[in-house]
Amino acid sequence: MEQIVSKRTALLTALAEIVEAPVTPETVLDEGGSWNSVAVVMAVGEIDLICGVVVDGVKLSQCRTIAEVLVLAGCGEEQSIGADDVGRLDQVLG
Amino acid sequence: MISPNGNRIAYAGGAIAGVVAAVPKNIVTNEGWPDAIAAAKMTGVLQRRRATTQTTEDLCTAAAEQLLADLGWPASTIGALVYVTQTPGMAVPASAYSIHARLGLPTHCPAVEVNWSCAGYVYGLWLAMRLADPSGFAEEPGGRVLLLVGDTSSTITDPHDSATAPVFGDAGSATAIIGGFDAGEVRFVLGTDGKDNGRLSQKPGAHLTMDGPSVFSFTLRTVPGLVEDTLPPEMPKPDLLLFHQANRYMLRHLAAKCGLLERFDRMSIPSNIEEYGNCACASIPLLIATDVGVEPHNWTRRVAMFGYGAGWAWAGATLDTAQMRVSKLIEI
Repeated sequence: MEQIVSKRTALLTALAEIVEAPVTPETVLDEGGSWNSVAVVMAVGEIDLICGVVVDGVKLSQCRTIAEVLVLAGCGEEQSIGADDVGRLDQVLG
Repeated sequence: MISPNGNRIAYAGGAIAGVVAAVPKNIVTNEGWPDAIAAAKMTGVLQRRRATTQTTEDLCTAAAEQLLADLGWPASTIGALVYVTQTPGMAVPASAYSIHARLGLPTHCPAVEVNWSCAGYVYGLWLAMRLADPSGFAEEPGGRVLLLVGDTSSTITDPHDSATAPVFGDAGSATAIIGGFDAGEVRFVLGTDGKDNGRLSQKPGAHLTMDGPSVFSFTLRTVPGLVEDTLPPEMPKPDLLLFHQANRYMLRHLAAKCGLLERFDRMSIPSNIEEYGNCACASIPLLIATDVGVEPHNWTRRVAMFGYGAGWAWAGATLDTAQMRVSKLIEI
């Protein structure tokens, strides 16, 4: 559990650098803006480095909040995701 | 032999006698693109060469003419021609035939054209060495095969697409192969996975489209196993590692993920992506021309090379380059 928290903190830091703004799990990603293809490519790399998981690029680009990214990377918290997001997240995660 | 990573491991006999690369004279920079600085930070591409009127065949033929002259190889001695490109100037008949004519190759020299992507140079070496071997077309050891590899990707990219237009450069190359195990043993690692073939693709009449995150995911899943299979612990350490020049972030990430920075110094993993961009299947021979044949690497005796890209397809090779002559990069 401690390891997941540590990875989550490291990943939040990396994601903040990628989107060039402070982020929390609730942060909504700006598709086509700061969450563009360059950002998603770099996020694929950071998730691999920090979490040791190679995520699907299409699924990552479909994430709409940082919480969804954390779940996809395997270091999320179910409770940090709003009820409205659960159905769509199930689709994203396949 | 099939490796635990699912790759085919094959051996061929042969060596590279020489390499020449050719690029268009026209230089374009990436200034003016939206988010140019952020994109350049990731891709590493600051400028690239873009063909104006030159075709891929023009670039490859110019390189081949220079190579034959440098080696003193008469066209009549060439046993086979292999042309690798995704951007031929002509669809029917294959453009390899026009190159065959332009070089004055003899009628007993078969011409083969293959649509291979960014793994195409290593795949092409494998095929060319097989053809140059007595078990292929050559009648005796030491058969000579010309491998021409090039792409003018600017002809298929949407000039307004920031995912592709500022990334791809144009280049052609010619590599001379001597066949037979007398010339040396080459270890190849080959693999293909066609399930996601639409992630980096071009439909007839349309522009090239690239899903960058999917390309990167494929690369991270596949290339570490390719490197592991190409460089087994018992193999002598190569002097240089030549990676397909996809983008700078990807190259750095792969080097770290594969543990290469602990085994090789940075100078052993050259890159020319800042100046030439991603030249698709021609990126490795272009890297040989710009970095291997010149100081401080012109003493190089053994190289490993790794290609990977659309398809998905990937290939690695380790070979002796003691006989390899690298000519100066030519511009047309």
